[in-house]
Amino acid sequence: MSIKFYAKHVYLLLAMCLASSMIYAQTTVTGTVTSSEDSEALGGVTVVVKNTQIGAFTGEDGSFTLNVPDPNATLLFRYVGYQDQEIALSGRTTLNVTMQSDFALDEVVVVGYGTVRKSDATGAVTGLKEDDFNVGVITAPEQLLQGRAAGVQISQNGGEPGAGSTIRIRGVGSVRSNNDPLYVIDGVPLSGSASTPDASNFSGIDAAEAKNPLNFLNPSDIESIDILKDASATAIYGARGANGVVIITTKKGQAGKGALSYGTFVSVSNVLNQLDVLSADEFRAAQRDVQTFFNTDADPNNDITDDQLAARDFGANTNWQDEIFRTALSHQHNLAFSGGSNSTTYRASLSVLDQEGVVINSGIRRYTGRINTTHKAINDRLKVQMNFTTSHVQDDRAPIGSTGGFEGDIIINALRLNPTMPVRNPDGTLFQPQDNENRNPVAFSALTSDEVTTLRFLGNLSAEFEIVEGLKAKVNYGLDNARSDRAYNASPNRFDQTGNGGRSVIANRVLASELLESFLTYDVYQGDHGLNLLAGYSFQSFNERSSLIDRTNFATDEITGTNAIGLSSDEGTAPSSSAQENELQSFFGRVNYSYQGRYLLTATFRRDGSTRFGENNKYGNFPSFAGAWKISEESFMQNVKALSGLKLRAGWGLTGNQEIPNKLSLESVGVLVDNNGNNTGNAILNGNTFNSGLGLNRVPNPDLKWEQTRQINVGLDFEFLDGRINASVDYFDRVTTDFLLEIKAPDPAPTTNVFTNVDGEIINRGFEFAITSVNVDKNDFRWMTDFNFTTISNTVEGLPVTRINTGRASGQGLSGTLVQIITNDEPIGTFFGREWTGFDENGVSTFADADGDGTADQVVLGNPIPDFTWGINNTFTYKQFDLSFFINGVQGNEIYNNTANSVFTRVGLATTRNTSPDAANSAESFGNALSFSSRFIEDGSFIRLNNATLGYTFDASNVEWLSNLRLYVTGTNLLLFTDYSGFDPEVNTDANENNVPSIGIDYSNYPSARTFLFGANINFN
Amino acid sequence: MRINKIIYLLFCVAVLTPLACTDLEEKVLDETIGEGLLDDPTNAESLVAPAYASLYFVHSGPGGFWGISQHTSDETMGPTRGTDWDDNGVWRVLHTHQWDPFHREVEKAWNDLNNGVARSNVALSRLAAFPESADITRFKAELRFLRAYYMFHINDLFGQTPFRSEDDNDFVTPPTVLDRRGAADFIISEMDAIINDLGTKAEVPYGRISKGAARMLKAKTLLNYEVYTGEAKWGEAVTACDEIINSGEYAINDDYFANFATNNEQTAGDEAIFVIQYDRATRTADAIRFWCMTMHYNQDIGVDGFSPWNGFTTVAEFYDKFDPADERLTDDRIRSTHGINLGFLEGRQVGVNGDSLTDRAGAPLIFTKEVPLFGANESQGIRVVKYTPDNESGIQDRGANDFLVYRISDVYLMRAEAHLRNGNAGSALSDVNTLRQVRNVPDLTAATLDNILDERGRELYWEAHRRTDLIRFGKFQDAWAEKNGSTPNANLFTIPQAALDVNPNLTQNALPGGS
Repeated sequence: MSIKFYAKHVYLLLAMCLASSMIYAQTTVTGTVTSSEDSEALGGVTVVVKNTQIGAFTGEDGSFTLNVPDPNATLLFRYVGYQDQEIALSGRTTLNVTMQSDFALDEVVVVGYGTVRKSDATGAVTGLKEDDFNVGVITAPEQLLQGRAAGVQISQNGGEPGAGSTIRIRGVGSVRSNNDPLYVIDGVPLSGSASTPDASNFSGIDAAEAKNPLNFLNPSDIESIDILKDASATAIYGARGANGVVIITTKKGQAGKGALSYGTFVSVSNVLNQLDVLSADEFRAAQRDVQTFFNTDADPNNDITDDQLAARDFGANTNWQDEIFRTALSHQHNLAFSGGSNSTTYRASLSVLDQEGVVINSGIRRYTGRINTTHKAINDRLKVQMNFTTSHVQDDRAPIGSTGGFEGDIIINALRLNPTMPVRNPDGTLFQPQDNENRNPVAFSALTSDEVTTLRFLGNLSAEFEIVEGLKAKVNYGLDNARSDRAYNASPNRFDQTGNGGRSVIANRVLASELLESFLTYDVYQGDHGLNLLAGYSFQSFNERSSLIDRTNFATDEITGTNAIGLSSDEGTAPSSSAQENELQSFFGRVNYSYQGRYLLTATFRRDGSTRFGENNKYGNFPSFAGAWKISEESFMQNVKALSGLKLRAGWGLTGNQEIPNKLSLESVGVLVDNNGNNTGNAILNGNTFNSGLGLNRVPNPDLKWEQTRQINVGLDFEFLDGRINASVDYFDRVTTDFLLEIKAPDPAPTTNVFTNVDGEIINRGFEFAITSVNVDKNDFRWMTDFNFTTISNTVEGLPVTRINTGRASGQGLSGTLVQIITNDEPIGTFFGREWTGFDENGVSTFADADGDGTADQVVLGNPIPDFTWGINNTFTYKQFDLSFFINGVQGNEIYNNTANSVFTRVGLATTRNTSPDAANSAESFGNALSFSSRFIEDGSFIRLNNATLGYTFDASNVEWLSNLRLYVTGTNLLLFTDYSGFDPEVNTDANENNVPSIGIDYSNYPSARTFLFGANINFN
Repeated sequence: MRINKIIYLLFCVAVLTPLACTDLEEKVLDETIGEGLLDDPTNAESLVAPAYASLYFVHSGPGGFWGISQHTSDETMGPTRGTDWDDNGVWRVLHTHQWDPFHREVEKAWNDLNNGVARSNVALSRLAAFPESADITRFKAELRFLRAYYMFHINDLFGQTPFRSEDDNDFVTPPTVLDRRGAADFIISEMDAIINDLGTKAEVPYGRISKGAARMLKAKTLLNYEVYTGEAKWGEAVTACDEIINSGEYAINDDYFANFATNNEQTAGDEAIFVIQYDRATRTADAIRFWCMTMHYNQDIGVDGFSPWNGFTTVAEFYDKFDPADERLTDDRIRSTHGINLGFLEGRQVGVNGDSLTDRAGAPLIFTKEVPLFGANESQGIRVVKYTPDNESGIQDRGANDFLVYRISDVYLMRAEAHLRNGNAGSALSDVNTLRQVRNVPDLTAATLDNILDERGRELYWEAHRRTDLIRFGKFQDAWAEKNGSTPNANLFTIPQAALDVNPNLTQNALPGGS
C-alpha cells in the first residue's frame, strides 16, 4: 500500500467530511446493475474502464458513477458469482446492466461487525443458510448445524429433549476453561454460562446434565449461521474468540407485499434401541447358577438355601426398559408475518413446541415470540433496527444422571433391577422394593418431579448513521436476561424418602447481560483499491445470581413441597445464594484492503480488558493478519476454463480465553469454606461452642493473564464449471499456550490448589475439506451433494505437571476412580488404566503386566478425540418433489462405557442385580471386582443416517391467496451403524473432576430417539 | 444542513459516550472481602480455629492420614467384595505395599497435613501483629504445637517436610525442604520453646493444647529419633515420658471402652492428653466415620434407614494376638441399644431385637476371621468398632465421640519401650504391667520388644499408631495375611506426583516394593 494511496484517501475522507466533492473534468457515466436472477440491485460490483486503473464499485442500490476519460471506452463489470460483462459505452452516459449469474450465487457471510462476500473472505468461515439446516425436532440452533460444517464437531450430550450439546470448533483447545464457541446473536455476544440451575450445587439430586442454554431461540427464526473458525476471523472477538465464533442472524422483513407463513409438524419418537438384559426367565436361571456356585465353593457360610433362592423371585415378568420408555409425540407450530414499506420493515413470529421425551415423565415445552423491525430515515442515511425475542421454556426432567447415585437414577435401575419384580402390587399401587439397594424406576419417576421453567429475553436496538458516503457510525445496545426456576419434589412416599419425609428443592438462577457497542466503518473504493475500515468500542457486563432452598420432612404429600416450602418441619440445609458479576471492555479495529479485487488483506486488532484478571494483566491484545489471492482472476488463469475460481487464503492470529471463575485475582479472607460452601475451618474451642474459623479462602494471583491461542490457517477455495462445483480445503494449526489451570500449590499453602497460567501447549492440527456439487441439473431434475470431512490431531506438550486427572467414574465399587488424564504427548482426555486381558481360571479379571513387576501396568487405553468426522448430504429435486438424506460419521474415538462397567458384569447377579446376557454367560466369577480397565473402553466410531426428508411443493399459481405450500416427511436418526454397545456413541456425560471437564464418558445416559415427523409449510399471499 | 449537523452531532455523542471507560475493578458481591477481618485482635481465637479444624480432615477415615496409616499395617484390611470396594484398587495396594506416587489417599494425607501447617502459619503471621496478652501468647504456642504436629506426620510418612516460616506469604515460590533430622530437631526445639507458654490441662479449656500434648509430641519424636536419624535418644525419650506421667494430670482409665463412648469427654476420665472434639449439632468435617466403614449394610444400630458401608476388617493374625479374656477385645454394653458388641465383631450378628441379621442375599450374617483381599463376600472378615456408634446423632455416619489422638496408656507403653531399649528391662516390665493390670490381663513375666509391640497393638488398635510402631520395631516389611512383604523403601510413602511437580526441592522416594 503506497503512501500516495493513503494520502489520497485521507484527502478523500476530509473532502467528504466537508460535504464537498471533487469534480473531475471528464465524462460521467451513471447507471445501475441488477441481477438476472431476481432483478434485484447488485451492490459491490466492480466497474472498471477496460485497460485502465479507473474503476468504481456499485452501491447497495446497484448504482454507480464513473468518470470516464474516453466516451467510447469499454466498461468491464465484474462480480463474483456472476459472469464478467464488457460493454462498450459508444457515447452513452447512462447504462443499465443486467448481470448473468454464475451457477452458484456468491454468498455473503457475516463476520464480526459486518459482512463480507464469501469470495472476498480471507479467513476460514463457514456460512450456512436455512436450506443447509438440519430438519427435525430442533430445540437449539447448533442442532441445525450438526455434521454440516467442516471442522465443527457437535454432539448432543444425551437424548433428553433440550439436552446440551458439546461443540468443538477445530478440536479441544483448553484444559479447564470453557471449550464452547462464542455465540453472537444479531450482534449480541451471549454469556457462556448455563441459564438453568444445575444439580451440581445440590447433591443427591438426580438430573444432572446441564440443559442447553440456547433452547430459547426458535430455530425457524434463524436466517443464517456463520461459523468463524480461524484466528484471523475470530480475533475481532479477541478474548472470547479462541474456541471459534458462531454468529446467528435472525430473519428480517422485506419491503414490499407482506407475507404470512405457517409451519407445523407432528412427530413420533421411539427410543433408538434398548440395551440387552436378561429376561425374567433368564434371570431365574442365572440365579440358580449363582446358587450352584456359592453352594459348591469352599465357604459354607455363603450357601444359598432354596428358600432364599425362591425369595429372589418376585413372580413377575417385567421388561423395565419397556416400562420407562414410551412412544413420544411432539408437535410444533410457527406463525410468522412480515412486510414493510421502503422505509420500515418488520417481521414477527410466534412458535410453540411441545416435545415429549422417550423416557416417561420427561419433555420440554417452549413458547417463543420475536419481533424484528428496521426503519430507515433521513434519505436512508439513518437505519434503526430492533430485534426482540422472548421465550418461555418448561423442562420436565427425568431423574437421570450421575449425581443421584446408583439408586437415584431410573436408567441404571431399569437396566439392573430384578426383572421378576412387578411394576405394581396386586392392589394396583406402585411396587417399591423395601431395601436401600433397588428402586422401581416407574415408581421412582412417578414420585419425583423436577420442573425447570426458564424465561429469557434477548433484545437489541441499533442505530446506524451514514455521516458521509462510505462513513457510517453505529451504536448497538443489547440486553439479555434469563430467569430460571427449578422445582424438585421427591414425594415422602418414595421409599428412600420415607425416613426423610420427602425432599423439595427450589433453585433459582438469573443471568443478565448488558452490551453497549459503538463503531465506525468507512468504505472507499478508488480505482483498483478498495478499503474498508472499522474501529469500535465495546462494553459488556454479566451478572449471575442464584439461590437455593433445600428442605426435607414434609408432613403430607397432599401439596407439592415446593409450592409450600414452609410445611417442611425440618430446617434441612441452610438456604444459600450467590451473586457474581464480571465486565469486559474492548477496543477493536479492522482494515480490509483489496487491490484489483484479487489481492485481499485483512488486519484486525482487539484489546480486551476483563475484571477477571489481576492488576498486572487486566488487558490482553489480540491481533490477526490474513491475506487472500484470487489466483483465478489472474490473466494467466483465464485459459483454464474448467477452473472458474481459485483462491488462496492464509492467516495468522491470536485469540484469548477468559473462561475462568470470577474473583481469582482477589484475596478472599473470611470463614473458611470449600468449593461446595461447606465450612472447613470451624472447630470446637471452648466447651461445646463452635468457632467459625477465619483464614485465607483464596490466595490471589494478580499475575493471572489471558490464555492464548495462536492459530495459523492456510486454505484454498476452488470453483469448477462456473460454480457448479465449489470446494475448499483448509489446514489449521492451533496452539493454546499459557493455559489457565488450577494446579497444586507448592505446599504448605493455605489452599490446596492455585489458578495459574501454565506453560505448555495444546496443539490441534488438522485438515478440513468441503465440497458442494450440482451433479445433475437437467430439465426438471436436479441433484446436489454436499460433503465435508475433518481430521484433527490433538496433543498436549510441555505441561509442567505429570498428570491432570479427570473423568470420575460413577457406580458402586468405582468410587473415586479417575479414568482420564491430561499428560504430555497424548491427546486431552486420554483414557488411562489397566489393560484387561481376560479372566483367569477362577473367572477373575487379569491385566497386562508388561514389565513383570507383579502389578498390572497403568497404560494409555485410548482417547475420545476422533481421527476424523464427516457428513454427506444429497438433495434431489424432481418437478415439485424434493428428497434429501444426510449421513454423518465419526471415526476413531474411544468411549468409556461406565454404564457397562457398573451394570453389565456377571458380578451383580450375586446380589440379585440384572445384567446383560453376554455378561451372564461369560466365564466371569461372581466374586470378580468391577474395576475400571480397557474392558470397558469401546470404539465410539459410528455412521448415522441422520436425516431423510421427502417433500412436495404444491403448485399454487392458480390459488390467489396462496403463494406456496410444501408438505414433507422427515425421519431423523434412522439408522446407526456402530460397534458401541451403549445406547448411542454420541454421548458426553459430565464426569468432571475439580472442574477439569471429562470427554467421552457414558454413564446412565438418556437414550437417543428415532423420530418420524410430518410437516407442512404454508406461505400465504 | 443545520438539521444534518444536529443529527451528526447527536450521533457523535451517542457513539462517543460509551467511550467513557470503566476501570474494570472487580466487584465482589457474595463474599466478604473481609478487609481487616484477620487483623482484628478480637478475632484471634477464630484465627486459631482452622489450625484445629485440619485435625478433622487428618483423622477422619476412610482414607487420608488415618487410612494410609492403618491399611499399610497388619491391623486393617480393605477387601474388595464383589461389586463393592474395588475403588480401582486403592485399598489393596496399601495392604500389599504397592502404592505409587499417584495414590489418591496418600495424596489426601499429604494435602491435609500440609494444609494444617499452612493454616497454622497464616494464623501465626496475623497473631504476630496483635498486642501481647496472656491469651495471644498461649494461642501462638498452640499454633506452633499444631504446626509441629502436622510436620511430625509429614516427616514420619514422607521423610521430607516442605517448610515455610510464618513470615513467608509467597505461596507461589517452592519452599525449602527439611530432611528427617531437620524436621525432628525443629519439632523438639519448638516444643521446648513453647512449653512455658502453654497451660496445664486444668488451665486450658477441654480439647485445647496443653503442656501435656507438647511433651507427648516431643516424646514421640524422641522415641522415633533413631528411625529418623540413626541416632538413638532413648534416655531423653524416657525423660519426656516421665514429665507427662509425673505431672499427675493423667491416669489410665480402667474402663477401656468408656474412652471411646459418645460422651467420652466425660467418661474418658484422665486418660486423654490430646483430643479432637466432635459434637452432633454441627458438621465438623467428615467427623468420625469409623463404624460406617466397617459394619455390614444391614447393621443399622437401631436407626431406620441407616446403612453402613460393609468395608474394612481386621487381619486374622492381628486378632489372634488377643487373649480371649482381654476386655479390650469385646464388650457387650451396647448390645441392647445397637445390636452389636464393641471391639471386634466376629461370628453371627444380630439386630437390636436380638434377631439374626442376614446379608443382602438373605443368608445369615456371620463374620468370619479369614478374608481374602480380593473377591471377598459380604460377611468375610472381622469388623472393628472401637468408638461407640452414635445412634442419636441424626446423621449416623457422624457422632459426638471425641477422637483421642494422644492418651496416657500410650505413654506407659512408650516409656516401657524406651526403658527396654535403654537397657532397663525392669522398669520396662513395670510400665507394661501397670497398664495390663488396669486392663485385667495377667502380668507379663518379662518385657521384650515383641511383647511390647503386641501390647501396643492390643491397646491402641485402629488409632493410627500401628504403621509408625511397626517401622520402629523393624517389622513393617514383614509378610502377613495377603501381603508377601516389602522392602525398607516402604518405610516412606512416595511423594504425591502433583506435589513433586510443583516443588523441585523435593526428591521422590523409592517405590515400596511390596507384593
